[in-house]
Amino acid sequence: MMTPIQRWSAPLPPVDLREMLRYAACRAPDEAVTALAKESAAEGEKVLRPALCWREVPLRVEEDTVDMGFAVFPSKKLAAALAGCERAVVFAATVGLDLDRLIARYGRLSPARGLMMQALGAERIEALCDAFCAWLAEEYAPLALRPRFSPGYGDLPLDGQRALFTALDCHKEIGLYLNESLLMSPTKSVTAIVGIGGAESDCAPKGCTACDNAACEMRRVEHNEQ
Amino acid sequence: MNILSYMRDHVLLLDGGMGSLLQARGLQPGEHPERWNITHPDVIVAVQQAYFDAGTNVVNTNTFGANALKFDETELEAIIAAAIANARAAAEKSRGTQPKFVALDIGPTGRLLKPYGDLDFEEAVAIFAQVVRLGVKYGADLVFIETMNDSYETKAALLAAKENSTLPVFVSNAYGADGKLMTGASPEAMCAMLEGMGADAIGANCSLGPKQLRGVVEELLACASVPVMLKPNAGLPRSVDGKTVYDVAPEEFAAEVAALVDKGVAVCGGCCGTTPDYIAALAAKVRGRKPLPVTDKGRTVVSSYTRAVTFGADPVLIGERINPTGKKRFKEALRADDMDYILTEGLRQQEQGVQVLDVNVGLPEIDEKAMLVRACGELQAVCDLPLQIDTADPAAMEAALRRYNGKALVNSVNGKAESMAAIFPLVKRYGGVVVALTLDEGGIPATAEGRVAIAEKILQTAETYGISKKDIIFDTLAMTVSAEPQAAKVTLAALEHIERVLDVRTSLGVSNVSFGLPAREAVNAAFFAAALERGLSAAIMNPYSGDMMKTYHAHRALHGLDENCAGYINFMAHFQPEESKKETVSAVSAAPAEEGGSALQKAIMRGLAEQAAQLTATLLGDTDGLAIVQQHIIPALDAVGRGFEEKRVYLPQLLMSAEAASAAFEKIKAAMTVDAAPQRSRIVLATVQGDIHDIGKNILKLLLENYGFAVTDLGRDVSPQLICDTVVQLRAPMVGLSALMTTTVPAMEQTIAALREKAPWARVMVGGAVLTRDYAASIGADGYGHDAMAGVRLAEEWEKAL
Repeated sequence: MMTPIQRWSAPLPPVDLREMLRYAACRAPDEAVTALAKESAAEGEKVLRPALCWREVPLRVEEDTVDMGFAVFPSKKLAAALAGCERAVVFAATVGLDLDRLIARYGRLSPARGLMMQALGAERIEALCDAFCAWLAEEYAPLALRPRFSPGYGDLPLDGQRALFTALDCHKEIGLYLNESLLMSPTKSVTAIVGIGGAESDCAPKGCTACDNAACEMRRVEHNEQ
Repeated sequence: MNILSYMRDHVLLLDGGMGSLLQARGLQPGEHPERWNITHPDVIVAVQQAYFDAGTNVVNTNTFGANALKFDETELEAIIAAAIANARAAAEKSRGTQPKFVALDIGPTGRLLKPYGDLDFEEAVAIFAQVVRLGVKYGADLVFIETMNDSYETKAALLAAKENSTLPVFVSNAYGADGKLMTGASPEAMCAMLEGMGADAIGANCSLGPKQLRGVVEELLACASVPVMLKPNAGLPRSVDGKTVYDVAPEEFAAEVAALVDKGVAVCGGCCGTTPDYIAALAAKVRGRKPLPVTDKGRTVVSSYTRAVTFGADPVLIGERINPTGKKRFKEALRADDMDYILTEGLRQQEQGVQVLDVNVGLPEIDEKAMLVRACGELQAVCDLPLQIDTADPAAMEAALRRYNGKALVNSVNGKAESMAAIFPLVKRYGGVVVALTLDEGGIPATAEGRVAIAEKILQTAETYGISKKDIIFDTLAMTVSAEPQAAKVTLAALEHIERVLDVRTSLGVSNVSFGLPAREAVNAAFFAAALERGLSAAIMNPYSGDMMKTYHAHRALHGLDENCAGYINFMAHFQPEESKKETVSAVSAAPAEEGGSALQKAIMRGLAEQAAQLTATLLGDTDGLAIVQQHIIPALDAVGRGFEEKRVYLPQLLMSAEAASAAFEKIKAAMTVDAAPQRSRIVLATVQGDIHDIGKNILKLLLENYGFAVTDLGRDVSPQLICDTVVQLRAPMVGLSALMTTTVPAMEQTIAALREKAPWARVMVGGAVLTRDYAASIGADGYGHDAMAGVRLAEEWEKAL
């Protein structure tokens, strides 16, 4: 049985400048870059409108498919990530359209600042998802939660977005839209699936370690991983 | 019985939720409820009858998502026909004796409109128009547009309703917990746009319970001159023992909604989670009641997609700088299709504190209509100030007004019959506040009485089009005082009469007054102060004029419009007179050139844009522009570029340097004639169709321009056709395409294939997050740029081979 769609909100932790600069492809910021990052964060934060909606769904996990009641997702990696779970939370989150407007504004006027706004959006949407998952973990304790998994990860097709968007009524709940090319608007948004319960050892690798692109400029360095 | 006349004496009762009731009767997740009009008419009729039995006056048809995006033409028509028939049957079966109406329900498409989504405005209008025509054909009593959470889509739906029916139209938006639409509009801004276009009732529905929507409703009541609606959810949903329950019970719901009826809400019902029980409880409280009278608030107001600007006691500044008249650099930008230059003019004026931007892009040799629509669209993508659309061409005016997101200021109409016949119908159809010049076939009257007489004539004529005086702002025309000593007095006297006696708002373009005099700013500022004192509501002005801005802030402080004089103090704290700017420049340029390059080179390498611009301006005093480029800018850029390639310099630093170089180039461009500017080969850049991520492309553009390439930027989500046409037209030797997503790479491949056919000479480079060198080769590209510097190097290499 699916639960109703609910919205969630909570204050976010302060912007992690180091993380933001990582998204801006800058490992060694000088004074000017740091100042620009700080300024951009202060300006960008004012227009953020974080919003998140979620619901709990039943799961039937087979070897290479996952049936969530509203849709069947063909993906071995998702099936592996959810092995042993009978339920999952699906959610959609965004930091809002105004940041896209700011990104577009500076993309035209000052690409350096535009880049920082992008980086801020990336850092903030991750912070929002992390805060929500931390809240979920408390809500569902003592059951363990699996790392969140999104369409486009591994072999989970991106067109899984369509079903998730319908199930979460994203445009109505949080003003999040999917276009014909499966791009999300606002761009700084995430949809994800979080398995509930089962053994912790089944958990798939998390974050950058799950990705094969070892040459990525934004890859987190080890000590950042904890 | 006519619904609008019934509403004058009765609170109008709407229905409640539908979706959750259908789910309880077996509607499956993912199933389209609209199909149930045909497959389960008995269920639909029963639910709607229950609402009529509970006291509802208006039942919405079960057509929330019925549109061409979900259903083909035949099925759509069958659904709407059945839906209206079902609601009629419910009305007939009901034992209720109240007047009953059937509303054609129209919900959002679920797609976001351009520029941030991919649904074109006219496409959205067409989708809604089809539904409206079917609703009219099958006999709906009114159109009910609801749950819209984007102002642009709301405009498309309302325009479609007005253009395809004469039925009353009610428009309701879904506001978030912060009291705004998801895409940012305030209730006041929505009210301005919707009333301007002729909505018969406006309001809020869905998203929240009645308590949380209270602030939104109060804001609407404060500004609306039409009836206000409220159709909230039964609070918030949660799951209890596998069942969905809402946290506000019928009695509490009814009490909260009824409390807002006491405040002036004239139309009410329920949305998600409400049932006939809720409506019955509400009916018990409001049935038979007469709503508070709806008064005309008389507000002169324009809006953008987020905010409203009101004309009244607090003067409004309208930035005049987006206008090519007398500006060589602006004309050049228009001819070169340099949209960034125009956007920069707009955004800098916003930073200076203007509340509205005038947009004039008329030049004899360009297609003004196309340029005006594009300029307004691009400005609205990045700037949320309301726009004043400024053109003498009614066709260009119509095209721009139609696509404008909000309620625009229209510049202008005058007392000539021809002008009024061309402009007033546009204002009536699309909404707007129109600037009316007090001149007519007989020219500009020399007396204040003459100008006032024209104003009265304009008001009377406007009235015949259904345009009231609140949607008109008079400009009594500032004339040159050096040519006619009485000129300023006449303008001011006419202005004062119109403001105080006719009680209509006024605006002036003040700078004409000082033409031919030395130190014009002093005269302008004094004239501005005099006009403000006589009640002037707005000025079209240059916000870089320190004297004008000082006058504005001082006036506000002196008239109790500036609490604690905070605006004045803040302005003065940041105000920098021209003389002191010059001192900063000389201080910088006087600094000895340190080792490792000139001061300008250092400024560029450190990414200090302002300093780079100032140093360039100083150098231009005794150095040729080209020499500055060769000796200072290019070496600095090369040093930074090499650092980036060697991974000593990171992307943000590269960009900051590039921007500093751009600032230096801009000074040089301003000083040089167009012909003297040397240019390297042309490259056409675009983010491919379906993709809206363009930061990579923008970065490449910036760097290519720095290196002197002639860049034509087609923007994002660009069709293969447009790219081919542009490359052919310009005979461009190089093309750069970007795509971020795997889903848009096929569009890139198609574009390359099309280019091979139509422009076989062009070499194509590609870039974007998902691309690799091999992937680029596999889709037929000539080159791959893994970052922007690589793109520049590729262009340099290709240019040598040309």
